Amino acid sequence: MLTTGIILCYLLGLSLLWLISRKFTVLEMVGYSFLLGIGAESVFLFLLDIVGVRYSAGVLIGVNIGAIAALLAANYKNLLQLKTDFPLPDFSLGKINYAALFLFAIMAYLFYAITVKNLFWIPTEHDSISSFDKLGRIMALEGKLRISLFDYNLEGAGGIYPPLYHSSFAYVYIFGAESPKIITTLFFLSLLTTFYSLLKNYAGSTAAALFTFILMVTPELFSHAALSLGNLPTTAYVGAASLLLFTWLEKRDEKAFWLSAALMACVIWIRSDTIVFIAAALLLMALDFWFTKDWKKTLIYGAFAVSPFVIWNLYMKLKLHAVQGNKFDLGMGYNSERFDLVWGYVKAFLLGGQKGNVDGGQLYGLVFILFLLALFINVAMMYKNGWKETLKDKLNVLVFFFVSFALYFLVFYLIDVKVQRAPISSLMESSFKRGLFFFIPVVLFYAATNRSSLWLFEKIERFRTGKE
Amino acid sequence: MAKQQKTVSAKKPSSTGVSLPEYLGRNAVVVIAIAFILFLIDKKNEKQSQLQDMYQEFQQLRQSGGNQQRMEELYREINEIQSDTSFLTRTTRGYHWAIHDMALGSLKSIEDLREQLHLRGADSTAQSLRDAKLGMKVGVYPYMKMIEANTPKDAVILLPPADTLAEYGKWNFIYDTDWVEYFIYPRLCVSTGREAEHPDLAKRITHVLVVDGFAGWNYLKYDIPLEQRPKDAILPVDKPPVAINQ
Repeated sequence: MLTTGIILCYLLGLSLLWLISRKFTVLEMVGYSFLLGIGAESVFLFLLDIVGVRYSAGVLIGVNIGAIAALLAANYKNLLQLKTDFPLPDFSLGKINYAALFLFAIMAYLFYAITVKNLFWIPTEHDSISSFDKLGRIMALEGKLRISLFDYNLEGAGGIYPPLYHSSFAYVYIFGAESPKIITTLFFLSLLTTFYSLLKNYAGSTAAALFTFILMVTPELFSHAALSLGNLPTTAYVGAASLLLFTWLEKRDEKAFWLSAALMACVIWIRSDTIVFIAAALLLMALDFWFTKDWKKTLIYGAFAVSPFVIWNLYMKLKLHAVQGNKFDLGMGYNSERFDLVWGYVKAFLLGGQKGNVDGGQLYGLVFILFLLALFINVAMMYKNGWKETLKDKLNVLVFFFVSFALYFLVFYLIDVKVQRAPISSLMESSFKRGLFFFIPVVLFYAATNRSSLWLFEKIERFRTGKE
Repeated sequence: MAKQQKTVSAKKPSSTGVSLPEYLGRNAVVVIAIAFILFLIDKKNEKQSQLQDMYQEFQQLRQSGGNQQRMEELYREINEIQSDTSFLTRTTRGYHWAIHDMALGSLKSIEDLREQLHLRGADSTAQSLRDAKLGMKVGVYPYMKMIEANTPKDAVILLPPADTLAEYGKWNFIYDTDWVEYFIYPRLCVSTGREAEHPDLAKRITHVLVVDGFAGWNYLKYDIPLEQRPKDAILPVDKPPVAINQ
């Protein structure tokens, strides 16, 4: 039964994906289908709750089959061309990229190992037990999103989180899962496949495989591939949505625009603190509007990115009767003690240093260092390329990173520790630490696709293929 | 901003460019270079994962007053590993831990655990397997099973105060209503000292959970002499259980 549910989720996602375009590779289909599919399933669960239909496997099978049939029918003419757009890959000996293949083999084995671990253990992480897994399991039992625990204030801190993540747990429980952790594995697979696919379009398959490997084995992120917390799934959405946005802005690839908009909607449908990425994405779209005057695209993107936030806040107010209290101490102004503390942790995380119980090198390895190194090299190369060309190099990526990171920093700088009932050091060592996941695909994308890196990979690729 | 920038050609190699042996040779060089770098990083951090075992061996030898020469060897090696605080070590040792200890290491340990669970018969049903796995990870899981077995589904349980069971370490959240609720649903719970967070439930308490002698004793509508107070129990609020009555 669980297999049926997962297949339906993928088919639903694929139907949505083909509505955007039929020109996707197998890896792209694997990655995006799940991200879109499980996002759509969470919307179904939300709507069923609104209209008062109790969840069951039967209801979900019906809704899914209806939706898939409707999407395929609406896209019928387009799909008739699918065969011509879907050439099988060439596996002749003289065309295989053995370097990428070697890295794929390592990644496949590591993926297997972490998946065995993930699926063996049932959730025991505090946040999962007190919130996400509890919400998902009881949603499946009671057949609704607004479970009875809301009446007693026992839903846990995740109760006011947008519903995508715990709905994904509910979805697999409804289809008979004993544990929801298959969701972690599928999100991890989507994170890796979408990152590789997007990077390959810029840097070629060798560099894409290498950087996907670096992304995969980032110690703290990799450990979450065997846990049931929302940070890794959120990273999959933030990574794909932001990299697709860069692709749209740089290459004007229409399918990247629609896919980015849909996935950016999921970014805010899975966690509210991801509003910092929505803000950065909207800023990029506003800057793009400044140059292109394409108000239509800007408005569409804005509507996609903001509407889930509005809808969830309305639901919270009207159905959950929960209003998010003010978590910030906005009257703090400049507090040098707080600033130094937060900044100290940021430095430890980004530069591989130590602060409190944090060992940045142990947690994030070379990820942020590669980014800063690439940035430094490009700035240093300014004398050769000219400042205009240097500034233009992946400017979208840099604006996105620095704006979202500055806002993320501000969130923790201004957080009210009395409301959170935890000292700021503890928040930095837990919430902030895990939130840094969201930035990893973006910084690695920059590290791999900036001018200097592309020059290096071009050389390697020429050597590998013998093309001069 | 929209200007298209230079990208690496993602085209696959043409077989007409170079001969097949040359193409394979060139690819082999790149593969070997990548493998060599990964090997070097791995080798550099190999000893990091042995640190824990070395500590343990050293402590055991110290307590037992064992082989002095081995102790000195261990001391030197531990010092050597700890003194390596180079930038490369600091930023790559996490990878060694993630790959070897966390991912690959777990393959073997999970295989052993599966065998142990099978020998105990814990894998006979899905529920027994779940109980066994939770029992391994969650120290206070027996209390959850005790609540489940001894209270009706509409019970409201008073949990012990926050500082109970400090020695249970990381997974002791027995005072945390959000956490305990996961295990005891559809029963409900309130925590001693935090009744104000759930005022409606505080008025409806039906049972008191006693953990290691800690409990909200004053909620009981009967008296249990100090010497008769159980160490671990789930007690109804209205009347004493038969065992205590006797």
